[in-house]
Amino acid sequence: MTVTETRPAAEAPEAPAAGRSPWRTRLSRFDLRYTPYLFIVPFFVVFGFFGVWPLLYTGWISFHKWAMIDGDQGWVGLDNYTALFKDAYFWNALLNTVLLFLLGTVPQLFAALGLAALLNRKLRASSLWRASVLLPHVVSVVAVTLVFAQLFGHNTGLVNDALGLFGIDRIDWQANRWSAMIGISTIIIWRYTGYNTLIFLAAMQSVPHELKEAAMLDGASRWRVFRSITVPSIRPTIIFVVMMSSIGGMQIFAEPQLFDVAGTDGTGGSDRQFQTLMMYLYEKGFRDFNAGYSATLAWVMFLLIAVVSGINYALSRRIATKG
Amino acid sequence: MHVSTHRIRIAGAAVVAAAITFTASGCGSSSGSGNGGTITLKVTTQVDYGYRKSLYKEYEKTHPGIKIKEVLIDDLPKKLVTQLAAGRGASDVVGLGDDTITKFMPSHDKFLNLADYGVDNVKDPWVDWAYKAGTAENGKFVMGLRTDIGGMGICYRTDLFKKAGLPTDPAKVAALWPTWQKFTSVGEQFGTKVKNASFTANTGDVWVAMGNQIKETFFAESDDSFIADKNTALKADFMEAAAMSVKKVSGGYPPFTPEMANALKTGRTATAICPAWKLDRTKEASGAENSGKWSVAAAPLGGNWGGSYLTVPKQTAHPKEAAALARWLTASAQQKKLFLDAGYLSSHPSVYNDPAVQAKKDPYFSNAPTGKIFAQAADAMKPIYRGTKDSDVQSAFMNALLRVEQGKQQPEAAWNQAVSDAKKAIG
Repeated sequence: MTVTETRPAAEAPEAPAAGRSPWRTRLSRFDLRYTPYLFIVPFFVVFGFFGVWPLLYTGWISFHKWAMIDGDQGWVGLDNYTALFKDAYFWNALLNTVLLFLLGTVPQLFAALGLAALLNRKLRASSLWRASVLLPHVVSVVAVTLVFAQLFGHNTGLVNDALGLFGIDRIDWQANRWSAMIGISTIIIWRYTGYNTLIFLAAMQSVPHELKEAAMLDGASRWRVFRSITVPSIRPTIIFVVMMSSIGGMQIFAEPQLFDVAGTDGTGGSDRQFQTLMMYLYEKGFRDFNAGYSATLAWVMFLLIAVVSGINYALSRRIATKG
Repeated sequence: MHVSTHRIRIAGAAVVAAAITFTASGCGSSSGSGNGGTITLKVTTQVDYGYRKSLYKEYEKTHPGIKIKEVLIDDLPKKLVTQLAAGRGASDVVGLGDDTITKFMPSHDKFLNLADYGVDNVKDPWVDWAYKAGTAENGKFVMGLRTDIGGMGICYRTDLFKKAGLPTDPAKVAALWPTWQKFTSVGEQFGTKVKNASFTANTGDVWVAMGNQIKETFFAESDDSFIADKNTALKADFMEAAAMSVKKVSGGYPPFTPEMANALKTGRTATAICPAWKLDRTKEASGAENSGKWSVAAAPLGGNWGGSYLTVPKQTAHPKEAAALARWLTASAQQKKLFLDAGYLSSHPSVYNDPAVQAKKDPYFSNAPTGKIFAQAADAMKPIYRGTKDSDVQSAFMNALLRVEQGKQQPEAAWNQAVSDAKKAIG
């Protein structure tokens, strides 16, 4: 009863205010409703300018025969797309990209998760450890890859020297698909594990300690706690990292390109045995100056990445909830 | 066509606008014409052309109001292509190798015609074939001014040659290999005596050298059509180079890699293909400890490998000054200096026939008469034709030789794949 009686009283102050200045109310209502949009508009303007527009323009280019310097050479419709799907180099590059993703990115994510769990325990000089896992990521990718390419050198590389101690013959790492994949994956794992470790670690720190303690008191092992409490608790972070790594992994370029003995002129080995999609795009666009075909490849890659990210999103959601 | 270039301009303008807003916020940009009438000319090359040692300073001193800024870009052709498409960003003077200028030749309208700035080959003294390869429209459009040429020689290790019972005097060594077939058989002979070093570093370099010795390689001079599949001379060269891998004459140290540098340094290869401009690099890779162990002899069949052009993109803000600088850097007096200082062989016959140039000897290379060897190679050079898509197909053949070197393929199969890969590359 009292409640219903107070209601008109609560409404009362509004009426005179509206009578006093309808402008002001409208303004404040506008402020409440639309100002947040105004704040985020700059981002979308910049994103539209540097993100959406180039994307659409690339799509437009892909329907043309288009030379890098001289521009449009005429509309060809879907010709570039049909040519691409018949192109054996494209399928080869796709296979290599997927293999590198499985051999480099996937183990790297698991390693990062494990490392983060270790760093999350009480350690002496913990910030030192945490800072040093990031170091490989701070060094320029070109420098890292050039060093690794030398380590994996055929005649003079240290890796072969080390294997030689165990009586293994010198391996020409770049010569074959599998050996090259191992070499490049090593670079990927080296470079990105620390970075993802820190992201996982940050998330793990916000997992309530009480939960773990309770589980421990109930007799759960460390592994069980990790699997059933830590991992599910940081699920959003895992999803984020998996998505970002999928996008990065599908676009992998500098590591395999510079692993090639011919550097930026290389086609990913003597038989394209480690040419990725991005490398093929680079070859078509910037060596053959075939912008139309390159744009087609870019769009197909865009769609592929969307699909792969979607699959990984679904997978990581499932894995995380199952624990 | 018009619509599209317009679009690109809009895009370019947008980028410019963005760039201006960023630089205006106070990064102290130093674009084009500065204040006080000083003009800064940007010179971009892929590798060091030897100018920075003294030539830039000399030019700045003799041309008040001009400042020169050098920028080295490792993947220059790939950067230049976007700069030309966008209509901005290119340097005032851009150096292009003789194997890349052909790629930009179809777009020569994006460059200045240096003939409009007083360049021609009547009063200017370039060796004819080198000058012509920098021109378009039957010589009417001068796109690039030739800097150096790469008279071909072979660097060899005298200590390893001695060990194999081979002569070490440059003239006698050159007499060992009048042809590449002879080169291979000397290599086989070498292999029976010396076990811990290969005779030559790799087959890729040999292949490039060979390609510079025949008039037509991948494309026909008449209509720029693809002829590699029916070019018997080219195939014979390929099979010869591949045979060097099969016969273990080549060590398989890929060109321009740390592996190759290491092989030079540790004496694991007895010879390396050495056009004039490579002497400096060979010296650098082998290090001071090998001084006097190397020497240079004429290569089988001589010829030329490499050398560059200076071009001026049309988008420059200072066409007159840029053209003048390019002209000065490629003039005889400067070219002579570059040879004596750094070993870059001049593209002017008056310079490479100069007694001071011919008398040049290098103690690092056992005092071999490098001036004479390279000049002879350049003089005996017959013009060759390079297609506009030459560099697109070259990698197919380099890859093929690499496959043979890696033991992945037999020479014949490698050749067949190279031809079909090349056809695919030119679409």
